[in-house]
Amino acid sequence: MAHQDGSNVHTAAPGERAPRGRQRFAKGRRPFFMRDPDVDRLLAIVTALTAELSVVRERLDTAERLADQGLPATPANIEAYEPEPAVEAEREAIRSAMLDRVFRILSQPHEGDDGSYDAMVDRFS
Amino acid sequence: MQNNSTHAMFPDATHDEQAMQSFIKTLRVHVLREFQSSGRSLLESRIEPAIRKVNRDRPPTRKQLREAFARFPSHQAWSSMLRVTQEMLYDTVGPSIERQLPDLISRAQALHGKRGSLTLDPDLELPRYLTAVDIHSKPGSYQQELAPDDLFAGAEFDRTYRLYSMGINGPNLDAGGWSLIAWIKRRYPDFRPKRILDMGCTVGHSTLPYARAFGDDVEVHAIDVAAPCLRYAHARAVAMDETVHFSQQNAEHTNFADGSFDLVVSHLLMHETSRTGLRNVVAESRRLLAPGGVMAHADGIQPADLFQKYYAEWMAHFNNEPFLGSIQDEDFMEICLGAGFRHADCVVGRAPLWRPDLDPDRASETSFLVASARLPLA
Repeated sequence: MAHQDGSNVHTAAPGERAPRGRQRFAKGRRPFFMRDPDVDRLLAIVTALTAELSVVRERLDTAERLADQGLPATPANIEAYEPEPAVEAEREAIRSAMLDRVFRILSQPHEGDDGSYDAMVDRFS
Repeated sequence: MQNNSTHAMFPDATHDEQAMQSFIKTLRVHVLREFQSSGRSLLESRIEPAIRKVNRDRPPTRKQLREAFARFPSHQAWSSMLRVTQEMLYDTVGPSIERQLPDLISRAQALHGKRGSLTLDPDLELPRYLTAVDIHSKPGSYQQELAPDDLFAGAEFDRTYRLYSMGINGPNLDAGGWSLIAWIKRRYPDFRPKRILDMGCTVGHSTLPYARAFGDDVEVHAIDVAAPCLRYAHARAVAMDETVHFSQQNAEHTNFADGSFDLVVSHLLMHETSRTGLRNVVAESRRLLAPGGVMAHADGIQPADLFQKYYAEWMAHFNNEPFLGSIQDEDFMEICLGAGFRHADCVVGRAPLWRPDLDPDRASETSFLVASARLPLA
């Protein structure tokens, strides 16, 4: 059974041999960093969705490259596909650019001033 | 199905599992770059000057750094992203390992005993400092067992460590071992160990180089408290044609006889043990050394760099690395002396990151702290 409460306790009956599910959450305090922890949660969800999008993007890329070789994009052909290092480098650049765009706002410097209109007017007066 | 493996035990990945893991790798590069560049800039322009003013020019303490960084919204966001990246790493690789676990277990069973050995101790009591939280936020930590002969934690570690280290540790993830070996050879040029012990070996990434670096007639032992890691370590060593004797033991008090080894080493063990545990490990190392033997414990901390000091503090508080903060305040020379080594026989230094496939003239920015001592011959 899955242990979703972060506990390490093995609750299986003695002698049980079937594998139990891996634990999904780490035992220990889960830190939150933003003023509102729900923003941390939302950031986690957005990041996970970006990962899903990246996987679909890469699967599409594989389908296109198979088509280039005259192969249909069947599940078996997709699984058998091994990207060349040059293809992996191209994909790495695509993923990196996607992250630059999705998380662009987090990279914008905004701590050089206190953001107040009066302070700005004072500075340029 | 993609393997990208350097050995036959390495877990594979389906197309989409590989795509997800590649994304995590790119995400980690992106997040770490932004966390560090924006963090260093905050440290230099705002945090360090302000704290030095309060401290009358003394450098910031770990707590001061942590409290100061926590006030900046940009740093809050990148901290949040760094924690999420770590969680996604395990939530991505974990299900892939779980899918192939029965196959990995039977592959390991077929390899077990072919060379070297594996000795487990089901009654070994795990130290509380390793069970209180899941280290590195790895769900189930390194010791959870999902099935008989389980190696989930070890297999997951091999795959996640490859993603996590972003190429720096080389294809066999053994740069820790090679770096310390290079340091030992420079420091003790006449030293030719025959019996070697690696403490806290996990899956043996750093252990295997010792079977090659000092000639063919060495006997290499490696210990860890985590059975799933040791089962994987043994199978991995066999798959890589290396002979190592793995046993499940606590490095604070092993069952080897006094003077059993010429060389006792560890890699990234010191920060995983408690303050008392660390002193016990060094004392145990001394007990295990034969006359003329060398102890060398390597760890990744760089407290001289203020941002690295903060990053380690961050990991201690926000990534379940409880002792990565306090270890930065340790006096390693004092610890060696406390274990009974003579001052002239101790050295605390730094080992630059090195592996045989790297250009020897290329200076490495990364280095390990080394706490080392040698027993007199007589």
